[in-house]
Amino acid sequence: MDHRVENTAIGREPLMVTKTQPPVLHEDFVPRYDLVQFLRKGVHRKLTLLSAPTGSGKTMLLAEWSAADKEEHKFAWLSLDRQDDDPVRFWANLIGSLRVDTPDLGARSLAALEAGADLTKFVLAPLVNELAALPTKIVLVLDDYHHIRERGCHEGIYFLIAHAPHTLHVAISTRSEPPLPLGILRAHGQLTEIRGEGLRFTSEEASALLNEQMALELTSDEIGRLVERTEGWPAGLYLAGLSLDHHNDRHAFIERFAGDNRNVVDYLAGEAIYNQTEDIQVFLRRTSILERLSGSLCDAVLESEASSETLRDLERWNLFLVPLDERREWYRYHHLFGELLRVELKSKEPKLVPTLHNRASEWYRDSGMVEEAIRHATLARDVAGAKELILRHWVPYVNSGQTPLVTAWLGALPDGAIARDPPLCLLAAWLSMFGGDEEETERFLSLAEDGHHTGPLPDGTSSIESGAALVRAFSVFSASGGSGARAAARRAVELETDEASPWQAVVHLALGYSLYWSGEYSEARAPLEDAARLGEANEQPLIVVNTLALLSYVEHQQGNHGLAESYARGALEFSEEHSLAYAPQVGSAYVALGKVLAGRSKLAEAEAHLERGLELQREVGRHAEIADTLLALALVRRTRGDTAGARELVDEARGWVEGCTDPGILSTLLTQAQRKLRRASRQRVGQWEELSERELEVLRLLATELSQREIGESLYLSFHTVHSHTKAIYRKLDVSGREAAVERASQLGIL
Amino acid sequence: MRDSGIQRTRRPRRYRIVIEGELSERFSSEFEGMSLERGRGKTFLWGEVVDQSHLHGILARIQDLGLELVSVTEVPEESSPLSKTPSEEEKG
Repeated sequence: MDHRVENTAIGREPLMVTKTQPPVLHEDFVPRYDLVQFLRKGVHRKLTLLSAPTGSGKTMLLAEWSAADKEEHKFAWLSLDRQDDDPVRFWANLIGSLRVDTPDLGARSLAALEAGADLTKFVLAPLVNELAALPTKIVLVLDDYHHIRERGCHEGIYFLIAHAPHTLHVAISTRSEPPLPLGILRAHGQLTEIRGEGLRFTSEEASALLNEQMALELTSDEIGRLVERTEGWPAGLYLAGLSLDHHNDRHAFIERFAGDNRNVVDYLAGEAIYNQTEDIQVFLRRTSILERLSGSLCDAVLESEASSETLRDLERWNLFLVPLDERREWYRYHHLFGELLRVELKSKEPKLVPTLHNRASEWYRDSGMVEEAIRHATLARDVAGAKELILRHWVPYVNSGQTPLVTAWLGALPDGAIARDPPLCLLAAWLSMFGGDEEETERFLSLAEDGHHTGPLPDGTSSIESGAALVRAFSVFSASGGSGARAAARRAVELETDEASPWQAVVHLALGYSLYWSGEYSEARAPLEDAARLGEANEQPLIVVNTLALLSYVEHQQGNHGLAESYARGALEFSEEHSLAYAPQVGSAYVALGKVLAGRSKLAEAEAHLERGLELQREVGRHAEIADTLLALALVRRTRGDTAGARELVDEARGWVEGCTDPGILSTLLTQAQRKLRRASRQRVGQWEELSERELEVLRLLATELSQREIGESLYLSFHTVHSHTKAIYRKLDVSGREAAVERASQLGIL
Repeated sequence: MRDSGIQRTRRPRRYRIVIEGELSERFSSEFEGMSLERGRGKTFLWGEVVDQSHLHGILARIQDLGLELVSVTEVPEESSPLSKTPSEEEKG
């Protein structure tokens, strides 16, 4: 049974087709022509916003519009849920949903996204360009945008909207107003808005629903009272209609309802639920734990066999079941109804809830849907189950830029669950190490080691000892310093002996890394060569790129410039071939080439590569690499005449070095670079004809507001003398004006 | 007993949240840590709110359930859920 589509894959899970299709319109739905007209008129603007409470019919209206105008424009649909509140996932799904006609749209953006590149520059800007080149307009519908809270998502969406080509129109439905600068769009006439008021049913529409669609034969007076009591709220009218169907004396029902103090939602939902048979009630409330329902999944959760039929019946009876695909394989409850069913479940069968989640988790696990499996295991408070899944599957998520998701998985576990479990502690240590938190890393490592866990871990690491050694191997500048890291790396190599394990390549890289950054350049060669070989054999492109870059650094240090260049270019080519060109971890490849080019005096090219590498490295935040790159870049800048720029970079490098608990070779590198920079500046001035003492005096005053005459008076020189000195200064500095002379002199450090 | 050192935990606040319409018993365990009272065509959620996250969680629930939020007020310890706040007294 195939319920997934190879549309977009992030981490491991393909995007479900059900998220990218508008819900199927029920044959009995009430068409709202005037609202569709209103939406149509706004399609040339940048944004349509439907902002209204649940049950107002926002989704239905957008679905109606997309069906009505499907010949006019392409509609791209994305149903958002809580899990989409994560920048990487949000944009991956959004790009996936845009592929209505073009299966490869945004491929580069997606690669850049997975690699963790800067969102605006490398993901959105190229995407906007691709969209501009499309032959027809796309209307991108983002349904249930209120689930999105991350600032990264909002900023990105605003960028997309603000820069949208005429081929893109964005339509957002939400329960709460998104924090976007709507005022600006409004002021420029670029916003179409429909709010709760605008979605209320008129008496005519209520009549269309209750009398025409639901055949209730109510009088206009009765309809009026219902509209008044529900304030035209579509979900309320719908629920009222369902209840009325079950009551013989409609008039009495309406009288009672109208005069009741009870909350509308509570009253009507209660009616809608309790009017069903006991079996149906059980079905409804027990399946309410699911965000999406299929026959097979429901059977698993209920331990029954007839769920597919029940779902079809429920759809036919209009019981708030929204089909998500044409084949009627997947459904979801209307959000509000689902919520109320959950209330019902908690109220009637609270003890059953964890069991239901467990059954769902198993089904998802057996279907290979890891994220859902973890979610339900966590909700079931099944720490053992959740833990197993997390530990087994975390690596590809981290490699595809979804570290926040893994962090969230750990965060959702009950208090104390991590501390009690050594493998979870080790994972927490990895995450802390990535985040640059030395203290937390060491704390988790100690917890892991004290925990007496023996044997291999679900992610393939051979033991806790091996995993901890590996984490420590990358921490060259923490308290235990270079020697600690090297020792840890050697231990890790001893312990990871399975050549088929992906961790083999990692431990050799770690050893090479710890040796290099401890200054043991020639010794780093052998483990790095091993890592490159293993990485290629095991298809670990990130490892290969990192390793080749480090090998380039090694050869550069040893003065083998030809070899250094060939490694650097090799690293960059490999990253291109594997779509990693934007990955932050690949920064060192650019830096490697930059250093080589600087050595060849190809300064402009060197600067470009070093800057690119620095940008990428900043995203990963590793002290050593950033400090080292800053110094290399500073040297190049200085040689090109930019003293001030070079000084800034050196200052920043010093900050990074001072931030290390044990700076090790970084201090040496810093001092060496500072020395080289002083030499460079002296060299530079030497290229220019030296200014005489007198000329220097005049030059200093040229930097002030004094006129040449006033300068003469100040120095007891005639105007004529000052003027000749000035001309000589201009000649020697190769400039043609006073300001330029002052600037050049500052650059050279003369002033 | 107040010590002179830095108070690291803020004292939790008591809030009274008013919802339109009277909610049935079904909803009593829906809002963690809050008690539910009904009267005069409204529902009153009342109790200690641990922190901002807790408060926003309750408000999000209310929105998810399609309920209409009328007011959110901090109340002093001694008051009862149905009593009016001073500003409400003024409005009468």
